[in-house]
Amino acid sequence: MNTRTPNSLPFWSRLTRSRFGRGISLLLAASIVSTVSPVAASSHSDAPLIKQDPQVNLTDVYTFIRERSSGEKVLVVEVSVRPFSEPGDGVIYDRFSDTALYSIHIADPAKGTTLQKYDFRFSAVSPLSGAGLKNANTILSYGLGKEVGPIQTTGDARQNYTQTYTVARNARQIGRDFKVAPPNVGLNTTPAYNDATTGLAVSGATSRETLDAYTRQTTYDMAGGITVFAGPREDGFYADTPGIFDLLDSRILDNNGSLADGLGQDGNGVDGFKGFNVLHFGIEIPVSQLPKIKYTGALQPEGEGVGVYASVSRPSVQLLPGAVVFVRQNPFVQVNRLANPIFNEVLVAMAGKDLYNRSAPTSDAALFAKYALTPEVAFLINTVYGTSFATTNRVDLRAVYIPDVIRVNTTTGPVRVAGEMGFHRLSFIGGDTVADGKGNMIPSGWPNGRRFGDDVVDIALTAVASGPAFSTITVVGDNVPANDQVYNRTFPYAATPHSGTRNSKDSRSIAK
Amino acid sequence: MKSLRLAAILALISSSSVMSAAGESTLLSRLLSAATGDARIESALKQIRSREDSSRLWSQLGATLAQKQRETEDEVWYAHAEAAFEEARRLDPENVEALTGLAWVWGGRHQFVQSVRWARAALDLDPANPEAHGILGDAALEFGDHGRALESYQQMIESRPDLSSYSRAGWLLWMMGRREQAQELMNLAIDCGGPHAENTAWCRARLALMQRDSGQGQEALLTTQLGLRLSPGHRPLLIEQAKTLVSLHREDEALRIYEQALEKRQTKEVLLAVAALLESQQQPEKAASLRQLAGTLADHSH
Repeated sequence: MNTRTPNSLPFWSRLTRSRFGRGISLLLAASIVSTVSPVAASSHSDAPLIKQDPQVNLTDVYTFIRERSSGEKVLVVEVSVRPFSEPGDGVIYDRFSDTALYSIHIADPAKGTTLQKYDFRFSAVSPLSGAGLKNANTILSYGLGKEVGPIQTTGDARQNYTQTYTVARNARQIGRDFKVAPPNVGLNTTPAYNDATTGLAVSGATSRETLDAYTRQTTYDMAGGITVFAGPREDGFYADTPGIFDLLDSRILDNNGSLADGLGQDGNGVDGFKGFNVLHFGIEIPVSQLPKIKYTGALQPEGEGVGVYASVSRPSVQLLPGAVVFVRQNPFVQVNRLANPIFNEVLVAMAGKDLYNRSAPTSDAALFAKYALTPEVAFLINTVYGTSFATTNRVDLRAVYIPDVIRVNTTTGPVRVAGEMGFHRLSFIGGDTVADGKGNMIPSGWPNGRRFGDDVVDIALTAVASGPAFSTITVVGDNVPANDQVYNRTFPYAATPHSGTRNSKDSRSIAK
Repeated sequence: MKSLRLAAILALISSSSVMSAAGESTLLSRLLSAATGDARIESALKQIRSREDSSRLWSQLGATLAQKQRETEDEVWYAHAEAAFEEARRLDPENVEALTGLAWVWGGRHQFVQSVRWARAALDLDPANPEAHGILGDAALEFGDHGRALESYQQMIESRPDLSSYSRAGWLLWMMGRREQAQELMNLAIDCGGPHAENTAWCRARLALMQRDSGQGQEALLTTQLGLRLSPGHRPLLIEQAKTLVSLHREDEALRIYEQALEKRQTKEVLLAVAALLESQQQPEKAASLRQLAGTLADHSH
């Protein structure tokens, strides 16, 4: 007797007993089990149609003046890319794209013209290519290479996958075979990043010697005075972007029932970037190697310095018949650009974002000035909260954003960074200023450069509320006054990346 | 009016009877039930509830619904995406994302005249728009006009080289018999990556096909294995893996993989492929049953 139940029947039998059986005449079909020739394959291209490209999605540019222990003044430029990188990615941790060109531009602060360009190019990422892998017979990228165990030294036998990069200045290679710092997998695999008890990432180094081992090992001093770093870091940006983009949810201005204590100055806000990492690359350039160009920065007297912006490009390819297609011989096409915070993300309308990413700052006056002069965010604030902030002729915002390069006065001394006495997240609004070469007191932070810890959302909202005359300063913020991790006070200033195993998104007890 | 429009779309998304074809209501309702728990769609709808007059938010909802279609392969999502893109266009006739979204919807339905019309409307406003060039190239490819497809994809790459443009160009070169360059482009697309795991999974499935058809069976198998590790259960990858296993004479394993693919969705092409495999294994009765089932289903060109 057949005792098998329907669910124990072979799959094919279960399928034929489904509602799909209808008694339509049998079809005779040519075998389609064999490989299919291009002609017979589906001709329609149903390829994805993406708008976001995570590995080339620039998120923040930081740039400011610091001083080495030798007394040499340097311009620090650090760039974050790949937002919302999950610390515990697990299979293939986020890596720089090996086809992209990640660039830092030193530009004319008044015109936006690139004067120096530093290009970072990274080695292959495909696990199938074998490049950078010590052991292809494991699923682990870290912790099991030729040996198993915690990584002691970047690129050692326990680090299975190691990405490397080259650096070029103005298209001439100036450094190569630099290792990218490993991701913070967790206490067992990358112990040097983390607290031995809690397993949480430790940050806040005050000197090269006090950096964790992996970061120290991957900070490279090149001949000629330039220092570079690349690797995962904690996302140093902090803001209640969920609240801001939810039609300026009222929680960004008040979360304690009283507006008498200020607009968005209550603290205890929601940081939409808490717990996430980014990919990060950076450079220290001796100020003596930079051009000196006169310009007038926003809320500053005439000064001297440079403009800074970042871009990412990918190679074009030629599809014409007979053309040899690729890749490293072909010209690059810019696919992303970033400088001042808030501009492309908030002020530039959707219709302009692609054009912004494809264009250079030299075109900003013609293409994007309107977004600074008539900021939609001012209109939205007025609509939602009934305020009457100026929405037109915002020449003050134009001075910040057009052209969209971060202007840095290179005649000042080193500026204070987060954690140092006198640092204020609101820059000049909080009294945090620095003397330029003529003795004028100018902002220590944004819009004079941009430091880690500058509360750019509050600074921008305050500027929207107070300009263009600034006869009265109305401080406006989003109730998020600090980052969820401590920054370093030495290069690289970006904080240690969050641990994949234990991070601030982990709600469980932190006791190990 | 605006609330009614949103309510109508919500009703479409939650309805199990609208837009369903006879005989597929169980499959459709099962997919729709799964989709109502989609956090991305819920998040997009939540934003619209607070600002229904935002053309931008409507086109972003359309893009989210379009991605849902790609991941579920359920054509009902074309209708949902179309409704969102139409609302975006109603609010702002110059919303380029809405225009390219509609072009994509019609292209997905294989209504290429309509698709081309919307793509050209987008290009009138943004001549360098990469999505619009890509969709024009897709239409040209469908009609076998490789020259025009080349031009469109070239413009797409020069506007924005990324997974979308590289993968399209790769598939075109494959269709033209330029096999090595096709594989190189598809690898380039994979290396770029995309915002959704499905994006690279799709590319890996195509790459596996190329590798297998070039006699690189082991490479094809590795490609599908990596792809499935990153995107478990991705149906096109399962199908390519099964085909590759057949080419490597590992028929029993292939059958198990085909089974996984059919558990997700029954399509005529796969049923016929399995039927042929069963016939080769001297199981004609089972094969005949599957062929009978296949005969009840519509053709799918992809």
